[in-house]
Amino acid sequence: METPVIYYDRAEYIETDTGNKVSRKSVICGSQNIILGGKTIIQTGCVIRGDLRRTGGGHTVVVAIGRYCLLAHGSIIRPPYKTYKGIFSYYPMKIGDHVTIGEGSIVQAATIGSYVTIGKNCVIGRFAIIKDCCCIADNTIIPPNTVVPSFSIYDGSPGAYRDELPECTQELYELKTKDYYAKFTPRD
Amino acid sequence: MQPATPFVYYHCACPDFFQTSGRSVDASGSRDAANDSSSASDRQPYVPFGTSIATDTDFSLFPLSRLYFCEDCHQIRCPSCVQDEVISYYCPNCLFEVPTASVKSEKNRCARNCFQCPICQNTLSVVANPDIPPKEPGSPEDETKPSVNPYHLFCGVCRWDSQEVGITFEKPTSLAMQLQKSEDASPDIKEFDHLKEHFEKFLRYNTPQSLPTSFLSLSSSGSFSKMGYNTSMQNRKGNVARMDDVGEYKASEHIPHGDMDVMDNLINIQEDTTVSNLEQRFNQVYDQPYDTNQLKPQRIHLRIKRSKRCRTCRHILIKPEQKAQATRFKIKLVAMNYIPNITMQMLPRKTLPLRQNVPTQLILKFTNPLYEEISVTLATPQQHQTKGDQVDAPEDLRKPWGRVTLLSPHFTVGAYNETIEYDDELLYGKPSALSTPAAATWENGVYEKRNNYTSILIEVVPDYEGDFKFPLLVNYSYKSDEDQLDTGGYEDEDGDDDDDEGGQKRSQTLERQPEERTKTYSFWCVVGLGEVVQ
Repeated sequence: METPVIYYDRAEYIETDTGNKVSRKSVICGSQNIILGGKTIIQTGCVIRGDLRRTGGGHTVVVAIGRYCLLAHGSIIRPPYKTYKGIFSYYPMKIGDHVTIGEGSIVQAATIGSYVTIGKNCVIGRFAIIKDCCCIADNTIIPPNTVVPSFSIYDGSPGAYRDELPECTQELYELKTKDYYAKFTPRD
Repeated sequence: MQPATPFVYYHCACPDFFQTSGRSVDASGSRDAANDSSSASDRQPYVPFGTSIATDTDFSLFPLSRLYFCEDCHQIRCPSCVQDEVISYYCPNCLFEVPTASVKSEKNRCARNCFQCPICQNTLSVVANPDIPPKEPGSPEDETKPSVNPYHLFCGVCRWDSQEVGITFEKPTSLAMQLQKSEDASPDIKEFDHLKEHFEKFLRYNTPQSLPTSFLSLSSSGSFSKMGYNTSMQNRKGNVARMDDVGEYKASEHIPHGDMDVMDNLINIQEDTTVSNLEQRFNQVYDQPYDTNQLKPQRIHLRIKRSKRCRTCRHILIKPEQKAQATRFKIKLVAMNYIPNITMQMLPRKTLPLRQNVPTQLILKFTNPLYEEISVTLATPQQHQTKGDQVDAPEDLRKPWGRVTLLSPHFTVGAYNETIEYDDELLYGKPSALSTPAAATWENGVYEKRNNYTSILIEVVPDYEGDFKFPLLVNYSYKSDEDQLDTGGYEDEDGDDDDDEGGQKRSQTLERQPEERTKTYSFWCVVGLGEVVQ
């Protein structure tokens, strides 16, 4: 089934020069530490914590998000933290291209590769590593420090390997995110 | 298969199932006569759907993304008609690529630092015990307290701790090596080694198998035939004689039966949390303990990368790069790049679910992945009204799915080219690009035609409640060279009469016509539109 055209309120979204569409009703903390690759959509109620950064030092990138990503309604991006050698610190998070993060999901991964789909209401634990071409099903809890290898579908709580993705996942997800971006248009 | 959501599944005419002549007769109902008259009917795949979609063809239906396309056979290939071969082994946790030679000796599990929790099967992490400072090499403490090791495994999900079962480590690296001793000491491993030793002599008599062990399906049978089970009769006679040479086997390990103890423990149990569940037991296959205290962390199972071959012509369809981290493919012949992609769209202000006996118009969007313009012909099989005389046919076969009208059975789809994307970017900037086309352009049943896709209209009238799905024959042809495709003689043959079409589709199904440069392919798919309500 083709996704229908999604109309949004033009007043609600800011569109940047590179085509990012960011809702004014989202909470973006520490925007100077956040990089959006372009054509990325950040929808209503999203939270990106760019202010949670390594103590000390000057300007650092905390959250890097690639092109054609979608942060659906109410998703939360928060960099992972740990206490290493007695020092509590946040660590940067990197998200690749063509990544969809479903509604209400909380992401604290270390890295998310390209061509990844995360379903609704998922929790991606601290320092999880999700490689390229992966699918996390709806309502999955990925425990901290988990590695999700390429071409796998994870689901359940705790998230476990369930199935394999087809070889053309890259094309599929690329088409999906591009299609979504093209159809995400202002109402007027 | 999810019945509620709409889908388009493609039918794979698996040669193993559909090119046997006997099968085509029973499932296609009254089409038998036409089938038999066709001289090449035994070679041709039969029409998979008679009056309804028999459930026995469900296994051959796949979403387009799961299918492959063999360039030599010019056929769709599904996961069950390709042959898998192992390219490489790797650990899904540390992504270390394990050399094939050492996979067997490491028992198909990661031999580094990756363990799974015995309770919840999650990956364990190594943690340092804060109470015990890491030992400094050469310090006098080493001798005084040798039993206390500073590292242990910890589960981040269920908070299981390897100290509970007395597993600790001296150093945080190569944990599997440190556990090797206890693993080797277990009686089942010892017994297995003893067994292997016993039969080694016998195995050496047999000539080595010439079959490459990389064939997944053959490797197991190969090892069986070594044991003398699967060889031909002639060989077997020889083997039987040699079998006698193998001396009587005596078990080296004797474990006393603990059944009564287990029973006593289970009787006296107060809460069920200390009893292991099936999954936990199956993860520790050697002894499968009932008591959770006896569950040990297991090394993580390796995963494989596979290449895929067409089983008919042995050509490679999929060949991934060997590296565990790489997602690219050296060879990738997926159906998505060869056959038109069909998606469904609702007309504005129309929604699913469908209603019984209410005509509903839908859009089928055909996207062309080829660099040539294709001309598409659609057909649905003729339906037979439920008649009393067809008593022998099962209920499922007699039940029609409703009426489907293709408003545009023949149309063309533009060629794909890379610049479309950039054109679209310009187009989508304007609000007019997404507005629905004017009603005037709907003539001939074509809703929208742009770039490399054409959307056509169909009308469906469901007759029954329940899942609504109907089969669709898609026939497409294109000129293989750069010449402009002119509407060839093929199109003229297209008639509205379903019966004519039936004969025609059989003669041309998946047949190439080399004499002209026009290539014609056809395939079946099943379009599902979800539940029908009253």
